[in-house]
Amino acid sequence: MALEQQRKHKYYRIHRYLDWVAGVGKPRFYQWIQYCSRVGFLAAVGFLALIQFCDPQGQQLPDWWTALLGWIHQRRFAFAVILLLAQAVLQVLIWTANWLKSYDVKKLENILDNVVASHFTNQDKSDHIYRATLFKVRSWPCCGKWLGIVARSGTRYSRKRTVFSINPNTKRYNTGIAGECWRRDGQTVILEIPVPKGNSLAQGESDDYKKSGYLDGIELGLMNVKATVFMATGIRVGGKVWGILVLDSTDPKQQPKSKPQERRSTEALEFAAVALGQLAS
Amino acid sequence: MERYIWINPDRLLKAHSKETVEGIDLIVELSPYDAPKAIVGKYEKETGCFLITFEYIDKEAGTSNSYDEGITVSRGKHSGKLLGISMQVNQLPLDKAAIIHLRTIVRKALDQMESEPGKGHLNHRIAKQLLDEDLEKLVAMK
Repeated sequence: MALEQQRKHKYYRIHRYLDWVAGVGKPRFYQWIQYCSRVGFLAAVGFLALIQFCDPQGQQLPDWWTALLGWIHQRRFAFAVILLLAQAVLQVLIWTANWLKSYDVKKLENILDNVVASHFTNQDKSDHIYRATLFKVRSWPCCGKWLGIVARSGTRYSRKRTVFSINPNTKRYNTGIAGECWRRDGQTVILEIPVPKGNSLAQGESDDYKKSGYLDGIELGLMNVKATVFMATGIRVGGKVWGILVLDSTDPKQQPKSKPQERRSTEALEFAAVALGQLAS
Repeated sequence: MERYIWINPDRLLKAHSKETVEGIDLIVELSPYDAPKAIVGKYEKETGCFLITFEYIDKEAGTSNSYDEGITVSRGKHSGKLLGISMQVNQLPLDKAAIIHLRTIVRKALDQMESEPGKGHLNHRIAKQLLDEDLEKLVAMK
């Protein structure tokens, strides 16, 4: 494989950090940001409108009130500038709070548990792992786009630090099965990677796994589970790809081969698409 | 009057392609959002227009494009999937020759649409196949 074709996650560390900041588990905190921003914005606009009436001359007011208004009146230009700047800051806060919009993670996880139960048949949980992970498309100015985890099924491997790079213009900057699925406008992608022997891979195996999974080396290094069967599909809201649902397992028997298996997997994906799409909107 | 044709999901199983990307074999299937659940045919006597609408699991805003012989095709604004086709029809039911002509002009319009850059090619492929098979049933209403 030519070097230029290897998938690359350009802003991996930045995306991982931003994804941690944008996490979905702090709804109350985000609600407070939203609330304070709106109240602060109204207060700033109101105060700015009143400041022109601060001139105490010709107004019958108590002495302490006249002194305060006089002090504000003498500095009205500075006040106006400060309030305009505050308004800009508050707008950024509102935008940030919207960007950090939280989702009902419990409901999403319940749906993912159901998807895993209906998609993977004859599960052998003592030897294998069966997961469903929901990634959301995220972006930040000058740092590109990435896919960050919003919810994951089950209680094992509950860490949600995996991020994949996505880029509409350069194929190379779409990493992971999730990135490949996003690159294809969320069409369903099914892939089987040769079974790795255990979680610690030898150099050759590691390179093969990285290549087969469209991974950047840094992403592979931080991966807990080396799955062998993958299915990814886009979750759309209003026709736009909102995120990617990835179903993966270490059990090679889970690759849909027969018609009933394909039918079952299609139905599970359809259920997931409807339910997750509604919760995400 | 409307004619409603439910799409058996087995008919959509053909809508997948095996591709090799960077030496890796993968199967690309139709997204659940792009798989038509039903096709609805409706004739508007006042305008002489026959409308074919594709139903999906989601609702998406559409954009329309006109093609030769009065065919208008509506596609999903973001996904590019086929939402509907409208065409001028004198009166229903159509005879065999008129159905063949209609099928030809619809296919031509869809081929033209497919050659344009945009999204939803897998959906267009399956929609074209479904129309080929079901157009006669759709226009068979009185």
